[in-house]
This record gives sequence, C-alpha cells and structure tokens, in this order.
Amino acid sequence: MAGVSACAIGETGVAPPNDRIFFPSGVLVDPVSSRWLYVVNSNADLRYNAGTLTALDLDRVRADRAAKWTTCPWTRFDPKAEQPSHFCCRDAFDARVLTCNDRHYVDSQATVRIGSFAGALLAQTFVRGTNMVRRLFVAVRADPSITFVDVTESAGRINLRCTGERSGTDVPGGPNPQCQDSWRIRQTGPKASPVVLPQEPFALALDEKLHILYVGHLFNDGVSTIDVCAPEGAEGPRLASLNPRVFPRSRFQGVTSLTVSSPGQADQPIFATPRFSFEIAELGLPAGTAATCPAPPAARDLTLVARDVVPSSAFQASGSGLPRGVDVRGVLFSTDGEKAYVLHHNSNDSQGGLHPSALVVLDRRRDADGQPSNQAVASVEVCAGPTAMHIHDTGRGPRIFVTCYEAGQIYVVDPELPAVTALIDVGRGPGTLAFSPDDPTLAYVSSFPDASVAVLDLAPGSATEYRVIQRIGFPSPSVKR
Amino acid sequence: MATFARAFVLVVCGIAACSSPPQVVPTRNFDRPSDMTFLCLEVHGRDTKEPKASGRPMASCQPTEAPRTFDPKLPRNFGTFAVVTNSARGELGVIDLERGRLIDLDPDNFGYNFLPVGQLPEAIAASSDGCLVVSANRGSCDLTLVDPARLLASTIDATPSTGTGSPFQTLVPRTRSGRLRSAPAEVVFLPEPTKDLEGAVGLCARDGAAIVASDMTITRRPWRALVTFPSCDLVALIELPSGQIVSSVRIGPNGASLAGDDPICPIDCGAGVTPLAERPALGPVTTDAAVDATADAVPGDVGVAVPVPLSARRQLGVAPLALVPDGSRVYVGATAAPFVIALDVSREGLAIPGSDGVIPLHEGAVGTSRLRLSVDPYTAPSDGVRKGEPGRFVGAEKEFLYAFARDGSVRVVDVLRRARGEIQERECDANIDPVALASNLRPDKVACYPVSDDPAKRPQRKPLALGPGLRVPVGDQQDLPLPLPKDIAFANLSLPGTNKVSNNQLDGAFGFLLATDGEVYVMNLDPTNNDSSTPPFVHSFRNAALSRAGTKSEGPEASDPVRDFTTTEVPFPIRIGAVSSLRGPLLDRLRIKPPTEEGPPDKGLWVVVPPGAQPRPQRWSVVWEGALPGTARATGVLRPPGATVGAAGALDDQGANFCRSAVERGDELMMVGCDQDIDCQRDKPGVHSCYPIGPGTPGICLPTEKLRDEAFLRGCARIFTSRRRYEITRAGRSRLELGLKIDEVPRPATAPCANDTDCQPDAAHRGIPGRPETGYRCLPVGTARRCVRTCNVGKADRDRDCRAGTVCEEVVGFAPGGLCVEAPPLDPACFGGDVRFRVQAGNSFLVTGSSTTGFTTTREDNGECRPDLTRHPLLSNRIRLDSPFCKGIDAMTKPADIVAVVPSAADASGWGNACLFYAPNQDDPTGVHLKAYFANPEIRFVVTNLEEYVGDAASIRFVLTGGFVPETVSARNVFVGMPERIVTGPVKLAPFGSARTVWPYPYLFVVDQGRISNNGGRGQILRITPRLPTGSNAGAVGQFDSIFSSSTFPIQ
Repeated sequence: MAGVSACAIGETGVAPPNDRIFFPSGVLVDPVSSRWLYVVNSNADLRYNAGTLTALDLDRVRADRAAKWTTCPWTRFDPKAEQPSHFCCRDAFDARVLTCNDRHYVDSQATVRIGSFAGALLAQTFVRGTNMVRRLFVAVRADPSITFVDVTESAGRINLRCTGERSGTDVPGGPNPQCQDSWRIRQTGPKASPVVLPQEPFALALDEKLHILYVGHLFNDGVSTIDVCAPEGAEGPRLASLNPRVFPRSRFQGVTSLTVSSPGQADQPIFATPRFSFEIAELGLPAGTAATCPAPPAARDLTLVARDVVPSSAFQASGSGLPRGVDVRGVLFSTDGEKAYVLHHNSNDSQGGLHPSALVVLDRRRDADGQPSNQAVASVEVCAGPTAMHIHDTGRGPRIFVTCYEAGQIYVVDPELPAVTALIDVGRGPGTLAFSPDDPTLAYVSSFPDASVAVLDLAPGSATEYRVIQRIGFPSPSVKR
Repeated sequence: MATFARAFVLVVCGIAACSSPPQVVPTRNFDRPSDMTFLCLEVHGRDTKEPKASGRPMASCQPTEAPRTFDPKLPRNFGTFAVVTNSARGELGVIDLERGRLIDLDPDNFGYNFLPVGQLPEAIAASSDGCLVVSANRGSCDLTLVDPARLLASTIDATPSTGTGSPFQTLVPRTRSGRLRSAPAEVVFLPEPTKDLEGAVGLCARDGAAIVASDMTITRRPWRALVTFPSCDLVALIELPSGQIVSSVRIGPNGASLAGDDPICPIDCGAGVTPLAERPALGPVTTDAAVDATADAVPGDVGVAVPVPLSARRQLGVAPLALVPDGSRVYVGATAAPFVIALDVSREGLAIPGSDGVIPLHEGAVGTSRLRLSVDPYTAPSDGVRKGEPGRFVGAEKEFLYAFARDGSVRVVDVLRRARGEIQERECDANIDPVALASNLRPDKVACYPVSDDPAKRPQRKPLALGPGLRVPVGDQQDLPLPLPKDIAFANLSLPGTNKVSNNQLDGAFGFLLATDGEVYVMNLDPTNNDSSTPPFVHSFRNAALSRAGTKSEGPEASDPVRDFTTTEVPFPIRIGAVSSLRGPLLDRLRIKPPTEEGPPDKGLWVVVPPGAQPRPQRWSVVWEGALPGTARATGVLRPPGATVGAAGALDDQGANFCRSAVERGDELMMVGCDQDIDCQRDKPGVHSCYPIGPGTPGICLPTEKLRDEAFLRGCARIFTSRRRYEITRAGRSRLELGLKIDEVPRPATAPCANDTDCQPDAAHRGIPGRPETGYRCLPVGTARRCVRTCNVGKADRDRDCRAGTVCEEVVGFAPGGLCVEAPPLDPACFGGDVRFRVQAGNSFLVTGSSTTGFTTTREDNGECRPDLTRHPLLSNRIRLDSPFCKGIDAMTKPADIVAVVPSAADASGWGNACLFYAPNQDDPTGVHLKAYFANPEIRFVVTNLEEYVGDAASIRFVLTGGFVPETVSARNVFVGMPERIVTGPVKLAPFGSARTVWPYPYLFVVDQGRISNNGGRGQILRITPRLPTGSNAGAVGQFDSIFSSSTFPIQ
C-alpha cells in the first residue's frame, strides 16, 4: 500500500532522503564548473514518495582521494547512519579503491524531489542576468514528464530550483521541494484538446545549437520534440511535436536512444534506435526549420519526418531464420560521417538469447546513387548487456566506452581498428557514464543496484588506468537504506 | 502425535541448519574466446620410471597413413590439444581433442582453472615443432610464452621434457635500446625444420628449436615469430624466448620501410604512455597504390573515389598477418591501408620487395582486418606433402590470399607467382560475369582476372556485383545489407585415387567462409567436376541444389504462369470483359529444341535461365503499372499547382528517395485511399476518419469534423470521386511534380493509333452508339497521336462527358476543348490525416520477384531522377510500351537465339531492355503480335500481345523453383552466436567406408564469441565435419557436430 501511495508525486508517504544516493539512474558532471556531479535517484523500488535530483561536490570527492584512510573493517562494509558522514575506507580486497560515504558530498539543501523512475539527464546552459544557468532536463517515466531544474552556483554553494517562476531567481523556501507542474513538460495545445507527452520518456538528446530537445519513448515508438529556444518565461521549454511512428516499417518498437548527427544543422538527420528491430530510423526536421531561435520566440514546427532506415543487419539470418541483433541501444558516427557504430544489446528473450552483444561498424560512404551503403564492415563482441556507449578521448585518441549492465563492465573499443583495448570492471549494474569536462581522465558511472557512483581513472599509463579508484556510497543494496 | 511433530520440527530445523548458503562457484568456461591453435604432445619412455612428454610436430600425433587409436582407459603416448585464448579473462584454455573436453589446468586448486596470461590475449600461435605457444596480449602489451610440455604433461601421465618450473613466461619484446611497450595484435611463428624429429630425437628444450644435422647431432636455435603492433604500424621479427627484435618493418601510407632492430614506437601500456598528440601524424597517401585504389573507380562501384582521410590519423592499424607455408613471404595488412604489404622473410630478417612491398587493393577497400591464405596448415602426407612441411596451398595451381577488406568484401589476391624481391601478386576480380566472356576465358578455366587499372579494359562484372571482392552470397532478403564475412578456412576434400563421385558430393578443394550471421558458406576453390556440365567457377559459392538433387543438379524451372485481370487498387478500375487464354498479355512459350518428326512436341519453356546465372527460387510477378518498391508511403505533403510546382501540383516527402525507388518522369502517382477509420488515425483516434466514396472504391482520409461539412465535401467532390492518379512530370529525390493524367487507352509507342477503331478495345470505350464523341478517339496530343476521350470544359456539368472516375480538364498540348483526366489539379485542403500514396510504373509492366524486389535503375542528375544509362544492361525491371525495337531479333528469330541475346544497353533509341519485336505467337501462329523480350540477371522471357489493352488489372505470375541457394554447413543442432574464427584442424575424420579407406578430411573448428546461454556462458568452440562420411547424404556438405552426431562438441 505504501508503495502504491508512493507512486504519485505530491502525495503523502515517506519522503526520500536528501543526502543519499538510491537507485541512481543518471549522472552528469556540471558542464560549466565541473565541480558538481548531478545524480538522478530513481526510487526504483518505490520506497519513497518521490525520486530526487541531487548534487555531489566533486572537490570534496577529489580531496578524499588524496587523503589517507584506513582499510575497511570487512568486505561490503556499510557504515551505520549514526557514524560520521565524512568517512572513507580502502577496500578490503583492493586497496586501490577508496569507498566513501556519499552523505558527505551531497548538498542536502540543494536536493530537489522529482517523480519516480527518472532516468536520462542532460543540461542546457544559458545566461540569466549575470548568472550562468544550467538547466537540467530529466526524463521521468512515472509522471510521465520531462522535468527541468535550474542550477545556479553562488559563493561556493549549489542551488537547484524547480519551483516558482521559471525566470525568477528566488531561492526555494523550504528544503527539498518537489518540482512544480510548471517545471514539468507534460502537454501542449489548448486545454480542451491537449497534446500529451506519451508514456515512458526514456532517451534524451539535445541539440544546443538548434535549441531542440528530443525525447525518445520506450512505449510505442515515438519521438517528441521540445523547443528550448526560449528558456525563460511562459514560452519556455515547449512540447513542440509528437511523432508517434518513427520506424516506417514496423510499429511498437520503443526508442532506446537518440543521436543528433550534426548539431546545429537543421537539414541533418536525427537517429532513433529501436528495441525490437535492427532498423535505425533516420528522422529529419521539416525543411526550412530555422537554424537559430526566432526572435521574438515563436512556435516552430518541429514535426519530425521519417526519412530512411539504416538497417544494421550484420546478424540477419540469410535464410528464413528469425532476425537477430534486433535490440539496438545506440548509434554513433565517426567525425567524417563515413562510419556508424551501432550497439546491439543481447536480449535473453523468448528466442533464447540469440541476439549478440556487439558493436557493429557500418560503412556510411556514399555509393554510386549517393546513398550510404550501410554495409557492415566490422563487428566487435562486447560485454553482456550493453546499454549505452559514449565516445571519449582520454589522451589515447577517440575510444568508444560501452557500458554493460549485466556484466558490470565497461568495454573500451578503439573505433579505428576496431578492437577491444581495455576492460573495466566497475561493479554491479553500471548505468550512466559521465565524463569530467575539465579532466578527460576521470569518469563517473552510476551503480544502480549498489546505490553508489564509481569514479574511474582513465589517465593513460596510470597504475590504475581503467580501474575504479573510488566509490561514492558504500555499495550495498539500495533497499537497505 | 505431538512427539512426532516435535521430531519433525527438529528434523526440518536440522536440515535447515545444514543448508549453508550455497557456494558460488565461479564460472570456468569460455569468456570471449578469440583465437585457437593446435598442439601435439608425445610421450617417450612410457615403460620407464619417468616417461617424458614433449611437444612434437603435428604429424607425430596425426599421421594419416595409420591414424592413432585412442583408448580412454589406457595411458596414451600421444595427445592432440587445442589452445584457445579466453580474451575477456586474460587466460588460455586447452581442449583435449581426443577426449573432447576442456582441461583443468591446475587441478590442485579449487575450481576449474585456465592459464592466466596477460590482458586481452587475442591471438595465439604454436611453433611447428610443438615446443612453444605464444599469445599476443593486446591489453598488457606483452607476449606470453607457454611451454606445452610443462602445461600438459600431467594430462598424459608423464613429466615434461623441459624440466620443472612455470609453464609460462610473460615478456615484453625488446629492441636494441629497450623494451617495446606497444600493444601486439597478431603473431605467427616461422616454420622450423621438423622432418627429422622422429622418435626421441630432438625433444623440446627451453632454449630453442632442435636442429638435426646429417650426423644426427642436435643443436638448438631460438624460435622466431612475426608480430604486428598496430599503434606503431610495425611488423617485427622476434627471437624467442628472448623477446629480442631481430628485424622490423614499418608500414606507412606509401608502403613499407625497414625499421631495423631498434624501432621506436609509442608506449601503449604502463607509465609514460605516449599521448595521442605526441604520436606522429601520417602524411597524405601518395603511393601508386592509393592512386590505383581511387583512380579506377567507375560508376556503380561502392565506396569508390574517396581517399582515406589519413592526414589526421596517427596510425594505419597494421595488424593482420599471413605467412606462406614455407615461411618465405609474409603478407601484412592494416585497417586503414588500401593495400597489402608483402615482405620477404628469412631467419636473418625482413626484406622489402620492389614497389615498397605494396599490393594494391582496388575500388575502395579502405583497409583490411584479416588475411588468410588458401592453405590447409596440416595437409596430410598422403597428398604428397613432405613430413615437416607446414601446410600446403589447396587446389591445383591455385594459391590465393584473402584480404578481409573494410568495405565488407573479401578481396582475392593471386599469390601463385610470388617471387623473392618482386611483387608479382595481383588482386583478382572475383565477380567477372561468365555470361559475357568467351568460353576459353570463363572463370572455370581462368583462376584470376587481375583487376584492371583501366576500367575500360575491365571485363564485365556480374550485374549485381559490388566491386571486385567476394561478398556473402545473397539469400532471400535482397533488400538488406549483407552479413559480414569474418574468416575463411580451406580444406582439400578430394577423393583419393581415381574414385569419382557425383556432383552432389564434395570433391576437390573448398573454402569455408564464416559470416556474422552464424553461417559457414561453402566456396568453390578447385572443385572436381564429375560430369559434362559446366564446372563451378573458381570463387563461386556452392549451390545447395547440388546436395539436394542426388546425382544430378536440380535445374531451375518456372511453373506455368498464372494471369489475373481483375485485381487492382486503382479506384474506378477499367476492366476489359472476358479475356481468352490466347488473348491479352501473356508469356510466350520458348520452344528451344528444334522440331522433330518423332516424339511429342517440345512444350517449350516459359522462362529461360541464361548460362552462368544463379537464379534464386522465388515468385515472380509481371504487373501492369505495378507499384514501385519503396514508394508506398504516408508522409507526403501536397502542394497545389503553382509557379514552382507541376501543372497539377506536387508532392513533397522529405523522407522519400524517389530516385532510389527508380521513379521516372512518366510514372504515375496514385493517392491511396482508405478502407476504415483506423487507416487514417495516425496520431490518435477520432482526429481523422475514412470518408467513403462508393462501393468497391477506396475512401479518403478527412478530418473528422469535415465529414459533415457539406460545403467542404462539395468543393472536393471532383477529387474524391476521381481515380486520384497524376502523371509525374518531374521526379526529384523527395519531390514529385505532377501533371494531369489523361484518361486513355495505352498504345505502344511503336504502334500509335491510326484511327478511332484502334482506341476502342471494347464496348465501354466505343461510347454511346450514334455519338462518336463519347467514345475514345485517336487524336493528336502534343506531338503524338493518342487514344483519348474529349470533353467540353466550358460546360457546367463538364465531367459528365467523362466516364466514372475521370473529370474534364484543359490539357496542355490539346486544344480546343478538354480531355478526360484521372483527377483534377491537386487541392491539398481536400486531404487529411496521413497522405498515403504510391508510385506506379507508367505505361509499363513492372517485373519483380519476391526476393528481387527491385533494382536501382535511376540516378539523381541535377536534382532529377533520370534513368541510369550506364548501368549493367541486365539491370532492368520494366517492360515499357515505349521500349525500342530489339536489335538482332525479328519475326524469324528462333526462340533459342532470342534468349541468347544479351539486351543492349542504352543507345539513341532508348534503354534496350526490354525491347520490342513483332512475331507470331508460339501457341497461335495465325497472327503477328507485339512482343517484348525481357532479361534480368536471373531470368529471361518474352511477353506477347502487348498491343492488346486489358485495363488496369493485368498481371502474370510464376514461380521459379530450383535455382541457387547458397550451400552452408548445417547448423540444425547448434547455435552460433557471434563467430570470430574458423580454422582447419589437424584432426582427421575417423576412417570410414566399406574398406575403411582413410580419407584425410580434416575437421574444421569455429571460435564463437557469442553468448550461447542465459547462464553466463560466453563463447564456445564448435567443430565441423566438412563432408558427411556416412548415411544417405554421404559425401555432401557436412554439419556442425553436436550430441546428435555423437560428439562432445560444442565445447563451452
């Protein structure tokens, strides 16, 4: 009953903790100062009446890494709540890993409450007066909504705000407010016949140059567009269009990821990957979509047009067998656009786990007809249960980091060879991976079931390169909290 | 009772107390296996106190003359093992091939133990004397040397000949100046002389390979291996076990250059890793190879004329290696180099032949990820191989290198004429069209057609070929990109002596191509042809029909065609009364055989398969104004007529590619209607509804609120009640400009109407008796005479002059008055919801197959889709009524001569396939009819009676059975997840046959990295019996072994 009552934000129930990590499902390093790590706590077990968005002070995290600490008294040590919040110890098995109490890093006054089952998180930046504002967009599946939170920094403090006037500067009255309806994008159009954001917002992609936020939905196969041209005022992030059928040859796919191929170029496509197919949808904005925000802000037609499909069919049965490799979780493109990297997730579904977990390279060079050939030219087996991938350069050149939930690993792939060049054991259930803007040799990965965030050392040649060097939060199951 | 209950509780509690938490035993099976090699261990002095086990040449364990028997109850003196890299866990696993199971390499310790080596051991090799195994560890930038004797002696109850100690040693290669801390990729040993390693002579020692002198004295010399380092683009000859680099060659964009014994490379591992910015950038490609690779591009090639953007690159990614069996030449590839480098090899060092060692790969190869030679590495001595010779090319006078290119193809390089110091190797074109070649040049006689640098001199390729390389053969899903070839292995499956078998049995040399779809395709390399039929071409894929057909090939055959004159989706369709079996468009029989006085008459063929073609079994359709594949869409935006669009309006569809769908000027756009409300409800229910037009006619989607808007409905009535078809006056990639589609009786361009009678095929077209103006008339429209129906645009009820579904409009090129057309100019306001449409082939029959949905026959030219006149002449899917007359075919041409004609490509008269001619019908020789000869890459046929119009619905369908289905190794009882490697193994099939003749057919092994279960297993080793030894299919292509073939494979 408590769980049921906790489903709806705003109802009574057990309030979520404001200084803890629990079922983290999204992480993001502050794009401006790199000092803060934003963590989406999903409340996946519905223990509380809401999830939270919280900020961790990475300066403190870094300072503790440099300090001396004793070894943890036993494995899977979980300090009691009454123990001091500032506490770290070295892992009993691997002294290179420092495990720290997350409470010391969370600014409990800044934490805000959002809906349950929140996930993807990304940031838009803009200037308000003299302040650089980071607007965090969170895909909240339980609402469903896209909840946004404005972040400002002053006097060394972080302020998360999702109540009151959108363009206001007032500090929230009480601690840990719930994000108000005006900070949740749920519908548009006239009240009599509103257009409502579809269920299961899951994937986010932001084109900061075109000021468009794309939302992929796991339910059905839609992509919504949100016009973020005007961050302030009533015009402000606006649900611009719903595009319910982005996969032209099939339905009920679910959009697992979105990729903006060329930010700022309105004529270039956006790619949506399907959960139950191998055909990646190529979507386009309407011809003539302004590459800049209209001034004054006006309604833009952001209805997406299904252009083409990119079949990633390296595993396609050539005979009459069932197709394989139908669960695609991401697509990336080489800088010259001549190669696409497609992440195939292995599904233990009714077909008995026939789908390989693999990174497939497609040749995107134009053929004689001017069309990308989309021929598979390489495949690399990756860890079990890959859910996301990022391209990042730690100093060794661009590498693709594949996060595998099932295996608890991150595979590092050199896209040029292509070949696996490193394996990182990160612990149970790695979810989102975030890189530090000011230090490319550091990364943060959320551990969903362990209620922690792992810090990865990516410094080339470091003795701990490609290893976890710190855990923020003692890795105990979130349900114990 | 109470006592019993207490006792029960105690017992239960006792049991519960005993059940401690279950021990979690770590999974000790494969985890991303990536490579495998083979080992032979032999025991000497079994009858002594301390029998010695030593690695030996494979011929010791697997002699073909007298295969060794294995009794699991007895200590054995020979053991054959496979060593597998378990890359994800940094281990090596060993399979006992006699026992068919994995070995616990450390039985003294708890669990099931593998051998830990370095990080990411992805490649492995064994020395030919069996004394050393080396793994290249990409993740830890080192090599691990494994002593097989120490590792495995206990498994065959002996002590190692190399003494006691650790079975492995990890080392970092050393230059003259220090350690080379770059990540290795592939490794291969130089062969050692092993022919004298008989009995106990030259047992393995730690310090090197045994060299047996003529007086049987033994000296030792270090082993030597070649290793590639991708981040350094280096191939190095390394002395083992010291790890000292003896010689090296660096490969750059211009070819190879010597780097000596002190190469400088970036540091990939440990402290001081070289940052990317400090690694030297590669210069632009200036070699002839690069020029060759791009200059000879021709239209139709995939990915051509795009130089590899190397300027920002730091490396070419030198990795793949292939060493010829005698060790004299090595081929080296790189992921970003469109060439293969050949190097001369000796124990003293590497040397670069002429042309900087470059063997160009043409037409957009980009680079290579794997190199393989057509070698069986363990060829049996019965094939004439001297003992100690490590492998041999299979097939007579056929020695090829296979380069797995980064365009998804496998490039074939002829290495037969390799010579020290020279580059004689050349890339072969594996896709030459045998149909277009003289018989003495056909690919069954010529093994390699060098890829010409001059496209004009290049023999014609098969119609659907993409570049010169091999690709996974197309199955029944032509629309999808092909699976990726991963690896290839070869085996000589020739029968011994002069035994001859039928063609359904494998006899000769074959390649086994492994692809990402989990299939192993059988490729003809040097097959023996056992009958008088045309032998399979070198590098063709074996046809499964051979295996199915018993003693004779199952040739393709077309069913009797079935016609349909009623089914169409065009609103208000035109149907011409009853059509007799001899009237209306039909396939003409092709009586090929000359008539004879005796015997039944030749029934003839409906469809002919040209020699050399490989038609796939499928259903074919010849449909009048059929819908072009890929044009049925629902995302169009309609534009009204205007200055920038067609006279009747336009349709924009940003997501469409009409050029790829082969839309041309003159085709027809049809606005597809709806049958029920759900057809219109894209967004959500209730917004749009299907407005019914009339019985048997598709409705139209409208906003629901418009359904009762009388004014709106009246304003759009002319569109709603029309056939809603427009003529495409200009087709662009995403825009169709439209003109009014005249309601007419189509006539062949070669036979325009001469009078009104020509325009009145039935009563409906003759009009009202006494009112000739109500019938169809032959009138000039523009520059041609056409069968049209006139009307008076000045009348208030002008549409009444036209038949149902057509309206009266002014038409450009016809004056005065008006003509009946199939829809009025577009009014976008009259359409709501999804704008569903399709494009029909105008005035043409469209030819499609269920597995051959279409060819791209148009090309975008200045923003317009125009016929691609440079394409292969067989790439055609239409029979147009305005086709030109055939060249070389007339009424007197015999059918056999007709179907031998390869249609000409475009000339001044137009696209020559299909082409028209007049001749009597085979089934009705009383008159002369207009016929079309049509040919595509798979079939050829003649359609006749084209002068007879039968309305909107006319289709001919037939089924082609037999034909080409690519032969694959049967995987009925196993699942291949993500295959990585296929290798020819040393173990031969057990003797079989009535006389138990030894047929030395090797097993093949597949390394599969895929997840094959839900319990954490990741990877397996599968075994292939390449040629079925027994049963009704004896001799046919074999299968993956499993419990159903009494095998312990797959091993997981």
